[in-house]
Amino acid sequence: MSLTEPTFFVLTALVGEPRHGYGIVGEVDELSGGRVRLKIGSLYGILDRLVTEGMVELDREEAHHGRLRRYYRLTTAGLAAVRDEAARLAANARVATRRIQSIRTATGGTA
Amino acid sequence: MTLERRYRRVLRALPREYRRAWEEDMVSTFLDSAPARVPVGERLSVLGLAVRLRLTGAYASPRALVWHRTRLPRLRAQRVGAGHGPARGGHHRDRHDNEPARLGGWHRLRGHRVRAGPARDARAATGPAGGAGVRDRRTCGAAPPWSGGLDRLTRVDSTGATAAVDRPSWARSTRPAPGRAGDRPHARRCGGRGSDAPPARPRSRSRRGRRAGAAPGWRCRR
Repeated sequence: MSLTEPTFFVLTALVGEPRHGYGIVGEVDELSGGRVRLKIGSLYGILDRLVTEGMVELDREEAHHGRLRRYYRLTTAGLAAVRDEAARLAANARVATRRIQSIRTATGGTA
Repeated sequence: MTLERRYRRVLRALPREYRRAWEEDMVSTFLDSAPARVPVGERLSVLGLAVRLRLTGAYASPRALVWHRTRLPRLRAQRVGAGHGPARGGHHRDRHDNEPARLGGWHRLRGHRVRAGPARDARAATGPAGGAGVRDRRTCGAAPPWSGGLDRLTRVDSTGATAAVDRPSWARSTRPAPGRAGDRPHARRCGGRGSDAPPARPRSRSRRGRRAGAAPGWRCRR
């Protein structure tokens, strides 16, 4: 099953470190070089689905400025999903790169 | 009106069950971003989420789920047959979650493939212990969507194997999985019809009475 790009970046943002909602938004922005800017509605749609599918779980709740912040972490299933998706994307990129290089070679570097 | 209250007003577009699980965290995340106002993009993302949740999955109203299960595949099949879509029998993009979904007996609801077929198929999918607690609104075909709880679903993988999946307690709705007809809150609101009957509009109540009795998001009409 392939993941959508925002879902992939949300999972990647949680690799190695639990994060709260705003932390995920910032990390996704940074990981994607500013290309994927998550709106809060989109983020929580993704989180709800990932929690239901068992890829993300609650790590802890912390008080911050009188409000509770939830920190989320990746589960083993979530980590496996990111790993599989990263491998799939890398394989796709290799195929495309090889094809582009073969065309360049055939046309003497003009394509 | 404070920014927090404004944002909470926007969030009122979301289903009540969803808000119980996520609203506080959404508000916290929104205020962390220190905006001067509620941006249009944020409003639209919440509205988009509200539409998706209400049309598909655990938060959908019975009417929307039935429409999604029966009318939408028919419309899609008609479009494919008329040559407006991809080749017959192929995969196409699901407009709700942007992931491939297959035409025919399988639906993708909230990211899960669930069987949409006769009742016996889904009863088999829930296994021998598949009672009211195992079936839920996401299990198409097993029971009427209004007869189950929100916190348990049956996942069917590509090989046809099934597994009952629990929703984590911290993200659960507070609506109990009803066991008897009298326990169903909207069945009570709608006059307590039979166990498998859809909710019906009360006949002898005034307009004002109907307004007071009906919960937001649930319409008790035929």
